Amino acid sequence: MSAPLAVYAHVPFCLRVCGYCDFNAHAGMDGLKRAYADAVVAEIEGWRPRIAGRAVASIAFGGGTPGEMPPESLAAIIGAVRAAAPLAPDAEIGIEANPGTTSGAALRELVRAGVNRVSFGAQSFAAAELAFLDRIHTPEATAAALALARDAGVASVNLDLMYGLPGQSPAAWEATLDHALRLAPDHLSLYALTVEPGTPLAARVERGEVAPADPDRVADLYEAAGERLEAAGYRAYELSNWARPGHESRHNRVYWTYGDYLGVGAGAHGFLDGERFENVAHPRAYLQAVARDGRALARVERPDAATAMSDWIALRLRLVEGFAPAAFADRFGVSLAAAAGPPFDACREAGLLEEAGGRLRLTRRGRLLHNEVAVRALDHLRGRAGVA
Amino acid sequence: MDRARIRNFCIIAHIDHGKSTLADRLLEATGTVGARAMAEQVLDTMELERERGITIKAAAARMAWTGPDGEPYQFNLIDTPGHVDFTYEVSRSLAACEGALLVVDASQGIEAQTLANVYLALDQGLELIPVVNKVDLPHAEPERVARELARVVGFARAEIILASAKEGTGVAAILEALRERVPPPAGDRAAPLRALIFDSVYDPYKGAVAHVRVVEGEMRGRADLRLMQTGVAFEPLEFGIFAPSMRPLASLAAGEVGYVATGLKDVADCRVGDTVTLAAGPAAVPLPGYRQAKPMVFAGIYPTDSDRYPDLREALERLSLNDAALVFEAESSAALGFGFRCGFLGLLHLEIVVERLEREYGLGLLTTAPGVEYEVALRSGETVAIDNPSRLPPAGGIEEIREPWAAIDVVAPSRHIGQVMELVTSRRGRFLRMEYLEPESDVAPGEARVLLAYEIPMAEILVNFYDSLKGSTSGYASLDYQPAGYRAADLVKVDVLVNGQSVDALSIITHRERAAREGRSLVLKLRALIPRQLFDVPLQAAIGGRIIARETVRALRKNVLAKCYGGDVTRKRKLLEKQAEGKRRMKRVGSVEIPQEAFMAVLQLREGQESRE
Repeated sequence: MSAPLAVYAHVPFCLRVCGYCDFNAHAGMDGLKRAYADAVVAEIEGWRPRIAGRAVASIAFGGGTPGEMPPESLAAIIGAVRAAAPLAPDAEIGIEANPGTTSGAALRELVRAGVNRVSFGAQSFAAAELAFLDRIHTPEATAAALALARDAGVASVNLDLMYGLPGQSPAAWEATLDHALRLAPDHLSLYALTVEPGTPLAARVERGEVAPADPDRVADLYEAAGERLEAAGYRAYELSNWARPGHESRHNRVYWTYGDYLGVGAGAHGFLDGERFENVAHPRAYLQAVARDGRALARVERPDAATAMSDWIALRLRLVEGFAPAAFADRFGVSLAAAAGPPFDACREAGLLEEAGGRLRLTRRGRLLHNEVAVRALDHLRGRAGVA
Repeated sequence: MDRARIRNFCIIAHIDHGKSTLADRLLEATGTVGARAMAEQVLDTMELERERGITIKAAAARMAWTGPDGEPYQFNLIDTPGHVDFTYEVSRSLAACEGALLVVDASQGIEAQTLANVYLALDQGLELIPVVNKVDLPHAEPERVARELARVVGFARAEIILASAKEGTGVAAILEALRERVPPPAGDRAAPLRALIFDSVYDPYKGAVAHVRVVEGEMRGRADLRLMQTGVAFEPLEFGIFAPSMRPLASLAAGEVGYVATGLKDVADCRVGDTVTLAAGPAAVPLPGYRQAKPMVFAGIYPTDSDRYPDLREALERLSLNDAALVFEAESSAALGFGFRCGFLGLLHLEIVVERLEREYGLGLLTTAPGVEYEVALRSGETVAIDNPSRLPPAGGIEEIREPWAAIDVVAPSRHIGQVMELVTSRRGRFLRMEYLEPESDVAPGEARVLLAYEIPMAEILVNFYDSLKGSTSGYASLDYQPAGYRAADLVKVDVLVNGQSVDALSIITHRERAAREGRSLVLKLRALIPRQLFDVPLQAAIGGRIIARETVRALRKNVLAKCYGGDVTRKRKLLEKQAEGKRRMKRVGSVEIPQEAFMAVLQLREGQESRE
């Protein structure tokens, strides 16, 4: 059996690293970009035996800011994937880009290389909020970038927006949403600002300069956004993602459905045949590792049954459609009721889960309490494993 | 050894005044422990003791020393526990000595507890050798402290030795003073054996090992011995001395200090203060001063994971092997399941036990708020002891509730008298007397050290009292306490209902006039401490079924990760694991998860009051 495969390529470079960001992103390393692309190509070639014969259903460039890579470098990486495994005819090839550093010429070149989805880090349409987030672009730049993408023939355009910024009023959030809707993107990802430990933002919070938003107010913003987007014809298909019909991200769906994906590039994560992989994170260390070994693995983990079940449940429940309990049994050879009946019953009773059309899914209230369900399932599965 | 060349002594000192360092220097100077082989603080062997810098268990060491007269001397140092919770143990250590080094920090002066121990030592007729220690410190005021000692205890200035145990100065003078001033032990070696147990330690091979001072007679051979208070007889496995580790000897005679390995499986049979005699030809009367260890503080200890109840039982059994003062009995709580009601000498003792259970036995524990034992006189004429608020009989059946009181001594600079008075009276304390330890003319205004004596309900000093005392006197006050009997009080029980269900472990017994206010304060604290659940959780306080306060912990609305970035499932899982860990540390009561801190909320009630009053 050879299930389709997704490929994730990490690009760890940014013109400037934002204060809230704790991803593997580095500024001031632009000189490494071409060598880096060569290394990713070499790494893909190294994976060839492992992925041979599997159709690649999607390629996603994340970062960092892949949109700031030389387009021919990204084209070379796409070429390396094609050379290693056949690309499905309808494959999704997406990149993330910063509206402030997007050019029409680059977009056209990327489309020629096969890119059909671009995701812009719009984040907000209020200049002050963008400044707070250390973003280098303006609200106008986002509108212009989206127009350039349309002109270049990008089939699907996403905007990332952030909410729950310190002091953000419901009106300010709705203004950003309205602005985004006027630009008519095909897809919207809404992310609550999270204060991640070790970031400059966390340091500001610690010093008392920034007061994080009240979680209940953030919940209000989430619910208000959901209503607005649905009224505008977007459908929530994942906890943080809305799309016009047919524009759901197929790549991200692979993560949520526990599918296989290859991760290449610095710090990238992969999941193949039940094993989880993690690459060396620092770009220079990554380059050295690939130069030396042709690969850059930092860690390989084969989760035990309880962990795998818990991961599966946590990921599947992020999809609004939920899952059919039979799919769990197919995958693990044990029924969901036998593996994790009690926490599911408890969450159903508490109004976090519901059954609809033979599927289990989060209720509307449950969407904001996904961790509560996932933690209970994890705890139960681990406890059960401990007894067995 | 000729009795005339034996000196038995202990060291009386406040925490941090340098007792352990001085003991180390004495062991070094007498060649008992080579300087190179010397770990810091040889006598404090428990890991926890070293970390906290205090002595929990007493220890002993024999030292050989050649005096200026060219004669060999035997010095026996008996270490004493250094905390207010262990006054009885201190008194037994003192009873094993003829002399004591009184060590006082040259920059601090004498503290309340030290003074209490000085009085104990004087009562028992010990020769005191005053040592002003840490004279090397920049803030040292040795002459001022020497004047204080002279005034308070009545020393002549010439008797007082200035020393720096850290630098080794004064150590020779101390050894010489021990030889010259401490009287050799008396006691008839031909009389029937009487040996005082001043500590007992459990050894897996030797059973209970009694630390003893032979007062009269002699121990020799394997003749059966008998403990006069507990009545237990045994054949000794061996006896010997501490050098400083155990070294067997053929005999121990009157005046000497050493150990007896009893082979007994239970240290409770081998209690501090008991008298060892011969089974055949016993002494007529035991040595005076024996007292049963009486716990003063009680708390429930429950495993957070109820499956570990048997492990907790085993851990308590093993700890109590070495700690006769720790008492425990099984109890069950409707809210917390199966656990143990434990009695302790004091709060420090409680903390040490809980910490050891968690650290040495890897147990996750939930401890209920510590309380005292009440005497409840029932209408039926019966009197019952209640050490758990939830066990208080219904009000209708109660004739009278009596609570334990304590006599406390506080020593503080005179400028803090007002704060101390305010603190003690806000906690129902009654002033007894005040005494200047040094004349005001001797020191800067407000700096003269004053002893304040009060009586106060024991329950009032259990919780944050010492910290409040320290806080309101910039750290200058010291405290000593003694139990002072039971007195009737107008007390009621306040119950707490969580989600409509009474949680026995949250009940408190308090003074009637404060009950309503404390009930309100308690549910407010609980609202802050109980994390939001998936549903609204009402919290209520009730007195005799009447609700006096209500708060609500609102249902949780949001707990979700924004995104699963680039397929990094491991990181997401780690966050979930952390949350699961947090849940596991909580106790499920009905359908509500309650963290440990909530059960300690009652401890914060008094704090709030002081800032308001």
